[in-house]
Parts: sequence; structure tokens; C-alpha cells
Amino acid sequence: MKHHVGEHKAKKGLIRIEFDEREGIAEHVKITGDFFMHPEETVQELERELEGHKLEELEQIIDEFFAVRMDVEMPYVNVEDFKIALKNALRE
Amino acid sequence: MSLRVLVFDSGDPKFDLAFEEALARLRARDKIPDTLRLWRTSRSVVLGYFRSAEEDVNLDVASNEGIPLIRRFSGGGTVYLDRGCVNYSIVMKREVEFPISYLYGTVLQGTLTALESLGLSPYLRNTNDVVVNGRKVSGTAASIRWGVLFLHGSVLVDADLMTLRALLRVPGRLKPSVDPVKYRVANLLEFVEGLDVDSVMDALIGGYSKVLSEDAYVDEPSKEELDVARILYRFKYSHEEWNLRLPSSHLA
Repeated sequence: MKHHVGEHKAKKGLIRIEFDEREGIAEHVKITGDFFMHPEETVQELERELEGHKLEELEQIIDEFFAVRMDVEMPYVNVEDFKIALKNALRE
Repeated sequence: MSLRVLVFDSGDPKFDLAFEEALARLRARDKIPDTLRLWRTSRSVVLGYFRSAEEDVNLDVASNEGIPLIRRFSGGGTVYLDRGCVNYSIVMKREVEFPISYLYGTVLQGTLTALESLGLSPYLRNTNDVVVNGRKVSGTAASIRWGVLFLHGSVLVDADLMTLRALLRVPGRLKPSVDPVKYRVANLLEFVEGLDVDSVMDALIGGYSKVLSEDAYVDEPSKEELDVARILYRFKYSHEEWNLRLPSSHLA
């Protein structure tokens, strides 16, 4: 099992994505940082979406997750910032 | 229109944080009007919603000193509070197109106006860090949910900065994109001789009633506010799985 951690500093707020890799699958996905997202629980929903998926699918899941979430506001942070944090984690 | 002001001190920082959420929930249901709360609490570390305790806090210092860690329901960074900090919270409903810009761009001017009335020249850095003479004196966090706009902040007046520095971990090497002012904090007392917490509270009431163009009146917490805060305390803010654990397993 390999632990991946990736960080990215957005315009305001640091985003950190970490997870364990087991046979190419992401487990124990955690997203932390000092960014803002409203409503806040959205982050747990995103963690759950990513959980149990193949590493190569994660980026697309992030895209699709935010594409349909019209209720979510992320001041000074955007979808690309989450994807960059993910790419940094995958590169580890 | 008039602005309801609560000056309420529960004596327990966990209850104080539960009370914050009670305000937002009750405002959502129109059980209370727009409210400005001013409060102080005992020594505590308040984590932003998405923060990790291990990363931000020297846990051994907190445990040796018996300082509780409490997670708040808004995002942003981790702060240290003690009775030398004046905290304010504003809960309101407004039909605005861009609620976050409204909160940080317009409402937060209440804090700047307050500090100006104390003879200071405050300005904002990084959208919501309040800076005086190049030092951060107040941090701010917002939340929008249930149709409610919520903004809260903590002003360092005469806080124990030694304890703050011992408790809060600063990353060893800051990325060039991180503004170091975040970690250069100061008490207002350094800039205004003899300043006390009551004057800062009065200044905040003045600042917010001016910015919101409303007359302030001081009120007591309602029974319902205390009841809801007690419930939130019992089910959420008194539990380590909310306070210490990252929010995946939390009781929303």
C-alpha cells in the first residue's frame, strides 16, 4: 500500500489531497486545507465519490462531481485547483 | 431596521462554538433576527472545518496546558483564542447575488470601521485577513448555508501570544505563494495604549451598525438559542470525533 499526498495553493487557501493506493485503487481519501467551500459538507461527499476508484479515474470524477453541483460555492478556489492537488498527489 | 446585539459568555469554549451554529440554524428558520454576537472565551484552539489537528497544533502543548481543540463549522485556518481575544459573529439574511463577496467585501468593513474608530489604519490582505501596521490582528471566516450569511472573526486585543506561538504550528518553509502575514500576528494593545476588550466590543458594535445602517440594541440570548446550542453541544461540539477527527465521520 502506498500513501499519496498532494498539495496545491489556490488563490486563497491550500488544498491537500491524500489517499492510500491499494492495487491501483484509492482508499481513505482525505481532503484538507484552509480553503472555503459552501456548504462545507460537500468535501466529505467528494471524498466519498473518490473512494474506491482507480487512480486514473479520479480526475474525471472531480470534474463530473463539480459539473453537476450547482449548489456549491468555492470562493477563490476552483475545480482546476482540486485537480492540480490530485495530480501532485498522483505524481508522488 | 435595527441590529440585534448579543453579548454572551457561556464560560465554555465548546458551548460557545455550539452557540455559533445555533445562531445560523435559528436565523435560517427566522426564529431570530439578524444578529451580531460579541463574545470572549477561555483558552482554546479553534480548527477550521477542513483542518487537521495534527498538522496545525502542537498536540502535546495543548494537552499539557489542558487547552481544548474545537472544530468550527466554517472553513479557513486554525486560531488560538483566550480572554484577550474579542470574537464577533454576524448572522444575517440578504438577497445578494454574490454572498461571499458581499460578506468579505462589504460586511467585513464593519471590523475595519471599528478599528478605525480606535485610531488605527487597518486594511485587508488575502481577502479576509485584517492587518494593522503590517501585522495580522484578526482572521475571518464565512459560511453560507440554509439561506443564511454567516461571518465570524476573532480580534487579538491582549491575547497570550506566547501560548499562541507554542500551540500553533507554522509550516517550516512557506511556499512563495503563501503570504507570511498570516503568521505575523499582533495584539491591538501594541498599537493603542491602554486598550481594553470592552472598548473593542463597543467599537465593533459601532462599526457593524454603521456598515449595515442599522441601530444596535443589546439583547439576551433566547431560551431557544440556548436550547439549540445545548443540543449541538451534546451531539457534536463535546465530541472528539467532531473536534479532532477530520469531518468524514462527522454528525452533520
